[in-house]
Amino acid sequence: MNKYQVNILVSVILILFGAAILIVTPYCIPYSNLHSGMTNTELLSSHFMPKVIVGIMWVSSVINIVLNAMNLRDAKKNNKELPNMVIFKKGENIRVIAYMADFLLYGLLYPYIGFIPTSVICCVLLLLVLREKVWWYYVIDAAFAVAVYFVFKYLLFVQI
Amino acid sequence: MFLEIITTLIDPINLIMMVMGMAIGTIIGALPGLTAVMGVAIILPLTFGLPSITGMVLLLAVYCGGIYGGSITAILINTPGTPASAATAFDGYPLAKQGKGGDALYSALFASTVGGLFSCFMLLFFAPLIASAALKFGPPEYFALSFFGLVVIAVATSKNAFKGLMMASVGLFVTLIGIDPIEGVQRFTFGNVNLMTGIQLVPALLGAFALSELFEKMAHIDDDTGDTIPFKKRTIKARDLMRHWKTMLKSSIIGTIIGAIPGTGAAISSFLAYNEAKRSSKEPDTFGTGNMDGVVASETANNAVTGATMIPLLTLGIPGDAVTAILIGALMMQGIIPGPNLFDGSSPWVYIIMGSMFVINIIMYIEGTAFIRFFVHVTKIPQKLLLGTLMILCVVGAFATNNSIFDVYVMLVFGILCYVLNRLDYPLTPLVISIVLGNLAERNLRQSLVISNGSFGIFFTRPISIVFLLVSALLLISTFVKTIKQERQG
Repeated sequence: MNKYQVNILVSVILILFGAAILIVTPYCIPYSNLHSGMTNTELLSSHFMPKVIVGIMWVSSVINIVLNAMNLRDAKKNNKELPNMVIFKKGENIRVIAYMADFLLYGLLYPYIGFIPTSVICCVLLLLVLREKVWWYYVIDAAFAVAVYFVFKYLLFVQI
Repeated sequence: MFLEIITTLIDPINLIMMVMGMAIGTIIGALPGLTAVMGVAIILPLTFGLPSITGMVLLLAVYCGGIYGGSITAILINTPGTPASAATAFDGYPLAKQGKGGDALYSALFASTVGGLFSCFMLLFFAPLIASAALKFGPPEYFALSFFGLVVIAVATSKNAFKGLMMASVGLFVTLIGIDPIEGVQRFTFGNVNLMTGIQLVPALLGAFALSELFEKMAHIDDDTGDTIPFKKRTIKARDLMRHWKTMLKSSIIGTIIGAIPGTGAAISSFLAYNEAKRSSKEPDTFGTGNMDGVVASETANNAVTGATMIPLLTLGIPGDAVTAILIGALMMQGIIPGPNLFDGSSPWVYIIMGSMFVINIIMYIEGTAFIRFFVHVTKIPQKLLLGTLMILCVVGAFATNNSIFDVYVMLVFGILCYVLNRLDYPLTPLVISIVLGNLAERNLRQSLVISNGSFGIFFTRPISIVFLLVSALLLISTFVKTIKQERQG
């Protein structure tokens, strides 16, 4: 995808997101009668801000779409080279997704097996993903997890 | 009160925290790809169990150290540790190649200290003045001020003002989640008890600034960081650097002014100061080939930002950049609300914080002079090792906020979102600052409307409010026109 198409796509997603906010607002925010008897109660209610925010979302997204669509049209008309956007490269992508999955696993395991075992497992997995062969990297990561646990629990008195 | 300030500043625990924070900040700043923002975000959880002053001085030391630390790799491997040191590399690296690496590093340290101390004086002078004016603010003025802050951040931190606004609107939506500040009804909680208190700031900040950077680092783990030029002992002394006093003074003023303006930051100030030093130099052609004035200008300006960014934070409760947004998160965790009330004279807290900035800058000089030969080895720390240790710190930080695993997921969601947005060239700062300022803006907007029985006229009957709103409108219109012109020119 080129830069203009990416910008148009992001703007469209944001417009749809704004529409979704407006649709769910009546179901997600109960009406309160706190301001009954006052004028302009709609402005004072908790339904007001979502509408303002969706307004900002839509106006900025629509202008962004128009600008990028015009640039795209002009570039095609003048046979200009379109600025390509290399967003994701395959090798990088897999590593980053693996790292994200590692974080997710951290969150899933933490409540069940506790901080130190989860940290050790996730750090070992991370180093395995990176095909790390230096054994003491694994030891340092594990030792760091233990050190963090003791610092938080016994020095800072923060429960983890 | 003066005695209390001094005794708190020389309290051994606080001094240890400053020394430790400075070392951590310098190391993080010196690691290519890790910024001062990330350093402050990662260290934030450590402050949860500390008294507010001790926690704040730790974070401020990490911040100052992080900005200074970026110069080490900029000079020795031509890879700025932080964006704020990019201009330092222009002349620092050629100097290192000429065998003057030690001199360049010492000049960077000396200039950073001068810039930092200058901005501390400005903070001490201007903050009480601004705070006394802000004490007269009511909800309309606060709304106008937070609106101004949002507009500046949204349009100034992005090349495309519309992209900035799009990101700001997403951040504002995040602030809607939870209990309505006026009516007390639930908004967008979908029956989830974890969402009733809203999206917590600390996990969101950790996701946006730490996790997204870690994902980026993971993507480029195989990239070569370049060869390190061996460290050579310095041959110059502080008095030799005094001949750069004009550059230091000008760069300090530039850095302080830029730092006090929301949405700007250390990177912009260092480039501006570098350009000004080059423009006013008798030998502009030598810039980029190893002119010490270039290193001095860039480093003075980027550290002069550190004290100045505290002016809007402490006096108005408005974060000017990503670091101050994190500092607001730290203050909130301690139950401290930044703003003019901190200056009412009932507590020395704010003066201790301002005083600590002086001590931190002096510690930076001492620590930098004594340990620079150790800090240069930081570039040899294996990146693969860092990814694991920083992952642990991020998870602990998010979890410790509320002892809730939900916050770890919040951090992960923000990390993924911000990583993707960053890759798509959408600015992250408006998104995050909107999360900080959104509640303030909404609460004051709606309180004002309740006072005026729903009339927007209330904002146009008070002079301060009118000024802020007018400036915001002019800024919006001018940047919209500029963006449209820029975009149409491709």
